[in-house]
Amino acid sequence: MLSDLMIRSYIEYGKLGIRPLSPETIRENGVDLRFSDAFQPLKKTDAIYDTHLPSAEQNPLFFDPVIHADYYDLQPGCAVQVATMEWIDMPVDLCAMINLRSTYARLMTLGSPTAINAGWHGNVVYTLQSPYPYGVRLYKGDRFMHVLFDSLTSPAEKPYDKDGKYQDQQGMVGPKMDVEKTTRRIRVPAIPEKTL
Amino acid sequence: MIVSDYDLSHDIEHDRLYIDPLYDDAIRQNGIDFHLGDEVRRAKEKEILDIRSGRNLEEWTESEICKSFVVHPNESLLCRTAEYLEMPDYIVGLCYLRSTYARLGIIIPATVIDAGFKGTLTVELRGNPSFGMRLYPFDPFMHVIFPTLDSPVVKLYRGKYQGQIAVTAPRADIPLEAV
Repeated sequence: MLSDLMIRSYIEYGKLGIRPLSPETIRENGVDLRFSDAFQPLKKTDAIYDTHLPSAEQNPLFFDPVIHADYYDLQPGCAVQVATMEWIDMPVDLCAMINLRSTYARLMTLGSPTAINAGWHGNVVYTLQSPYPYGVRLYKGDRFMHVLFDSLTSPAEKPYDKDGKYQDQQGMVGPKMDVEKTTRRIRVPAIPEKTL
Repeated sequence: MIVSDYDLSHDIEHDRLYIDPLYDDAIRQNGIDFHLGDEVRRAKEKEILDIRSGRNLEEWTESEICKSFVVHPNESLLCRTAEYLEMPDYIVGLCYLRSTYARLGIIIPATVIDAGFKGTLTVELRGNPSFGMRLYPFDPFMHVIFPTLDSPVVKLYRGKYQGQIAVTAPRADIPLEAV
């Protein structure tokens, strides 16, 4: 796992990009990311989001339009999609792991841990929910996400590139389903002798 | 250090890490995409689940084999991976939801695969509070990254979920002295 010292050198040598970077966001063993001014609430609806239907048609039915504001009140029992103000340029030899900062976990908001792959560039998009009976006010510029970086055993052979659907995402970008995935080919490895 | 795509391919080729089936595009930059299995398990009773009660917790939950399933608002359910996995003794697995599903507000709690584990993975999925979602087996939903250990493990995983194939309900701990 990269220490603050290593993170600073990765940034200084231009291998890892985090912009805008305010130096106090580099923590002991990771970097804090901040809310941008964009918030996109998930709609309360009885309709079912079907992950095999094109997302471009479904997203407007399940997500409200993006709100630009200095703060957003995440109401009890609601969820909102947020984006970081920082733009991240991942090198080909690092992987990053995203977690909610402890303060937001203590505020009882939930968000799934996710990973950022080697070679990815963009603003990080994340969905926060508050399933409990009180709301939470989210302020633009507040640090809410903690990112850990770890080096790879070798640079990625196929870094995340232009074919990746979230490459260079700017601001709020909703989910994009791969609809062609049903035709995926499967390769079954030979069963090793040691099995069970 | 996290095992790169190049080294993952190498480890799979040499049967150090075993994944069946291995989808063609499953190996990503720094990890492996896992796909949903065709079974989910939901709680069917609203009473308190007591893992020490001696009762078989499989009865408290209901398994369903399905072509697709809906995660209702605020619902938690257990699903499994389509893949069967055998972990070697020098890496650990960390499970992360893929970004597309995270954007929909789905949550999987932090899940760790121990060195030496064999089986399919049973994973908790939690829906968002706003709307239901229909998910399909054999779609990639989880990205697993494999950090290396400081040394190979002396005592490999031999736990109560070893060899599990179906979605497995929680089981009572085996007393430590019996392991």
